[in-house]
Amino acid sequence: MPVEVQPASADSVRLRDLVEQYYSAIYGYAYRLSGTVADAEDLTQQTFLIAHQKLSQVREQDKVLRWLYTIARTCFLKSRRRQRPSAAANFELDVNEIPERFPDDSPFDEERLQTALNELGDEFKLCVTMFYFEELSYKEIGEQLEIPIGTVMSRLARAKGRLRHALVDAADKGSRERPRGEQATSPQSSGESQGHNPHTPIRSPK
Amino acid sequence: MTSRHLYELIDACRPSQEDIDRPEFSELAKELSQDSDLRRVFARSQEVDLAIQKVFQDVTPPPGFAERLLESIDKLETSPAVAEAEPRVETAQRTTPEARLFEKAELPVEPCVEPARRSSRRSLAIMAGIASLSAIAATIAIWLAMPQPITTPTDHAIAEIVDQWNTDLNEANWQTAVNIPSEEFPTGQYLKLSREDRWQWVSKRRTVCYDLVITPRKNGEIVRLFVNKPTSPVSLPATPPDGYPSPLGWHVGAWQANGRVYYLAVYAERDIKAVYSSVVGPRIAPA
Repeated sequence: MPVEVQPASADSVRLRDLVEQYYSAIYGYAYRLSGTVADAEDLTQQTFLIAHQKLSQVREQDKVLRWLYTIARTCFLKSRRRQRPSAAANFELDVNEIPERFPDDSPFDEERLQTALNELGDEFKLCVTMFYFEELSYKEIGEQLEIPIGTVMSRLARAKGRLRHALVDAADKGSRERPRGEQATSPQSSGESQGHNPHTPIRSPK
Repeated sequence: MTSRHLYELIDACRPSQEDIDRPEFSELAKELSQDSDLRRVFARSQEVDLAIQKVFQDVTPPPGFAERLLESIDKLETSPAVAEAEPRVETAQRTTPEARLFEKAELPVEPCVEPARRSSRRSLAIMAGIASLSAIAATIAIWLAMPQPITTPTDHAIAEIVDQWNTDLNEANWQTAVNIPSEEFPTGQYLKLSREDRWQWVSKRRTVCYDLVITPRKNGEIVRLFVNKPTSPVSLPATPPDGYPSPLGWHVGAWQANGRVYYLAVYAERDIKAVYSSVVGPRIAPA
């Protein structure tokens, strides 16, 4: 999540300043990882507590937010005593699930996204959160997690496939439940000018 | 380039970041320039990614959270003793690139001691040390020569082992059922692996986990067979038992055959015991 970083000298860095500047970003990150408000609050607090211990060592101010994300990620992983089992082949990479277009009044909301996210295994959730929230490249994700980039690409593809599947299903249901008058009417946004449903999957390439 | 790799590259492109212009995406860029269908897939993927990203980042902290957080921070800043008592960051984290943002606060202190002269007292100490080590080695040798007691693991102990192994599994470490160590860790007389099944090492290569594909997987079924080379004799039945629940929600059962211990772990959202039985019957130990 892009946050404007204010320049500051190392001496002037105070925990309070960090909290005021970054608590919202860290909370969001923690919420996406943990999936509940209570856990996200705990994770955020824990992140800043640990940051407090290491504050005197901060040297590169422009990378503080990324450092805080890393602390949050580490705290999250430590808090996961039990992993959700994830099946051998239940993450199918299927480009057919990419919809033609989400209508502007996209019927999926953050709650629906979070439900889908909570169903992912931690290793997938981390990759996809770093991709969408931190906006890291797959190479940066590999460096951060110290895993091969091939693994990152595979995890990203599977996790995104799973999210798309969940969200598109929900979007389909949403658009079916909406009264006709509320359907998107712009040819550009609905895809009707091309004579097909906006959520019709497109054919995958050869 | 395979379709799968192309799709992975498409999924690796961040929305609105011009990733496609980067050298690592040159293969994809080339394919896009030649394939209009693929261009459409790419454009849709970026569009959907952007929509998802927007929702992904749209998280609002609960009201009053900032105040509560700042209040606790204020207490911290005015009470150094509290901070001292907090747990330290794991050392593993300090090896990550982020750790390099920081100075090495705690460099190991080199011993600043002159080498001592060898005195007769020191020689005596060395000899005494050697004698002690010899005694320890002899004790270990005798212990190894003694017949090992046969242990009978409890259901609870078995369930905990299986839970631990399931937790230790790493998604990145799965291998296809081609190069399986089937001679050292046979799956058993009746179980034939399919091409979709996969495996990985656990517990320092003393155990192999076979992850068996179940179709159709309508009930979230996961079936894993752990084959273990025991370090000491164990007493277990020769055929799969009815099984019992583990603390992490699996249904597990263990048996032994041909010097190997087999642990079957089954997960399902409903009727887990029935799923376990249905696996044991046709796939593990058919009548």
